Amino acid sequence: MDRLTRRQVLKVLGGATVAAATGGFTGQLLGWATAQEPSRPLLPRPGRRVVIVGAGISGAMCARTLRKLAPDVEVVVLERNPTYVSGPSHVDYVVGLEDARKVTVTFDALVRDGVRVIRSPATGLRLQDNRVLTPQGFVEYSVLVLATGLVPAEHEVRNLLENRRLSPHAWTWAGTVELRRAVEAFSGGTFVLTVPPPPYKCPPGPYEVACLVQEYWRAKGVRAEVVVLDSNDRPQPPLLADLWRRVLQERGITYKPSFKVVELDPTSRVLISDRGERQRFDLASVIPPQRAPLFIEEAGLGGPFVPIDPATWRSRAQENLYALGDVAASPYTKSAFTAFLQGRNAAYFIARALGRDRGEPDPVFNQCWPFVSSKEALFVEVAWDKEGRPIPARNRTGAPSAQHVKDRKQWEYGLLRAVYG
Amino acid sequence: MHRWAGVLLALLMNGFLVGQMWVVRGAALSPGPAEAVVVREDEVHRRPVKAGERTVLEVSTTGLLEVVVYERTGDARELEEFRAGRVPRTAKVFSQVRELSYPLSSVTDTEFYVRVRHLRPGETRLRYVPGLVDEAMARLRKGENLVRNRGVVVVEGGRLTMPVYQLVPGTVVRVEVQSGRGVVGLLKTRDYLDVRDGRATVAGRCTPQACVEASSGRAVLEVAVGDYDDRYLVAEGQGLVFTYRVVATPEVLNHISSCT
Repeated sequence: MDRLTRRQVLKVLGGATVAAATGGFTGQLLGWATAQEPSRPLLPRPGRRVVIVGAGISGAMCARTLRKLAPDVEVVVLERNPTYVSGPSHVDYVVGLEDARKVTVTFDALVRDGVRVIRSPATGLRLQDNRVLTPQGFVEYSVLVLATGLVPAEHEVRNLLENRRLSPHAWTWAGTVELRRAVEAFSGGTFVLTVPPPPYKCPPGPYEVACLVQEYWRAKGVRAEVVVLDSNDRPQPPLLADLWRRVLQERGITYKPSFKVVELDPTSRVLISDRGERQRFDLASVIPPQRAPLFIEEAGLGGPFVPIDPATWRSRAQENLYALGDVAASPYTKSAFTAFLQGRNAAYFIARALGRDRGEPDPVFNQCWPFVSSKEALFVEVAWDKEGRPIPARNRTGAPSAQHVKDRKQWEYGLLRAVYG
Repeated sequence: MHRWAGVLLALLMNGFLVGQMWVVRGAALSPGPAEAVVVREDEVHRRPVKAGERTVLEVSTTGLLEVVVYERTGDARELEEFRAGRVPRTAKVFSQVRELSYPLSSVTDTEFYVRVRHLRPGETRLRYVPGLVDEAMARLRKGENLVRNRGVVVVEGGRLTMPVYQLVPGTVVRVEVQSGRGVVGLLKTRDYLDVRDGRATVAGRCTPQACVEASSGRAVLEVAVGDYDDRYLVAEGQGLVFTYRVVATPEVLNHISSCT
């Protein structure tokens, strides 16, 4: 069989999602791939309109901040999902530590603030006409903000796309639910979790999942060997590498660095590295590399992420385009913590570009409290100056402690209230 | 007392005591700044690197080398493996090189270990050029390019494959063939695996953008890296001598994260 290209794969997947969202799955799926560009506007021609694609943390925060800084500017958000499930909770949801209802929010608060929320995916960009394309029509903008997050590039691991069910992962919400089911049903054997090369969302996340599932199975009396295959030569982020090493060793988790999985053999249930090494599994969780949605790359905005000026979040290619959070090529960590600050800060620079100078926000920093068990978490902090340059003197780490678990949950619930409450 | 002080001073002047300390630890003395030393086969060189330092390792030989660079990971077994002459899985291996330049840097205090093996006998020299990560970043911010790592590779016959390190969007890989006949390519993982596993030939996976063919003498390949895919240097030919350089452009600043 000929190899599928990333373009072909994502087109079919993108089409499937769009078709599912708009009904009539099969016919629409086939139809979408050859669909004509939408010719009707979804909204009347704008005065000054900022269109934000994506209502995750950075997009929603940007929208609400903009409404405060520039109340006379129309803010439209395109969001494909009816709700947002908090990203940091994916890892603890896998082992039942978090209730999905507590960390699922709607976009009602944005609407209350005067943001127009349109439930639709973006399927394309017409940069020369300042248009975002959707299956229902196009939306015109004065300023476009891309806050789409990332999509898993499963096709980059041979046979993974065709065998997703063998290897659910917590880097999408659907995958998280599936992984939880698989973890609950697991009766013993070898669980193998893989770590992609950076940058990927939530660098400590894979090690957190490994620690939590091992604790969960031990408590249930399930005999399981937990193996982490890491594309990197040490656990991520590098500042926590030594602490992670110790934690994994203490828990009896097998850690294999520099093991880049490039192939899944579904018949023998084996993962194969680029060096030809083989690791057998009973249950796997291959976390694929991640990149910007295809429609962004197709618009010529670059890939795998959108290049921006990290001081203003403005695209290097387009004057009236900004990219925030995970989708941006920036020095900032791909985390919910920085997404919040990026959304807030970008709003100041967008408002300034629209003639509403409201001063300068504080630079971005990142804090993270990775679980090592249900009762303890690590801590790491890094910071950047206003140009996006790292400030090594601000680097801080903390060993496992119960306080870090409390801090983490307090931060996360606070974050959801601040952005969606 | 004074007599002993004189002896002590003399020993220190000769680097004797420092050298002895490393011998006790089973590793050779790391040469000081920009001071090249002749190294022996399988001698282990230990180089502590403080957080924020960027020390460039430079190795050159009149023969042909395999150079193994290992950074302490906290796994004691790996270090034992390295000391025993094996290659830990996290080590970087540079094969069939005549010259090598590779930066040793870290966000935390660390130790690097270097070992050379002669594939063809010769005199081999090693030195460390000190520097700081901040200095390198400042050069990029000023709009300058920066060589991240560099090697002179010799392929006397058959095929050589080697991973290329430190590639992020904004880096450029420049390959200059100095002499010999053959093909040098920079293949992405999928293509590399197809070649390695016999599903395709090097020529079958080569495009003009990713490979260069040298029939007699000089040829140049330049690949601008725009993604995070790993790439492998694949060279086939007779008497091929080429230099590769991984060059960071200021664009790299958009893609280098700090730590988390």
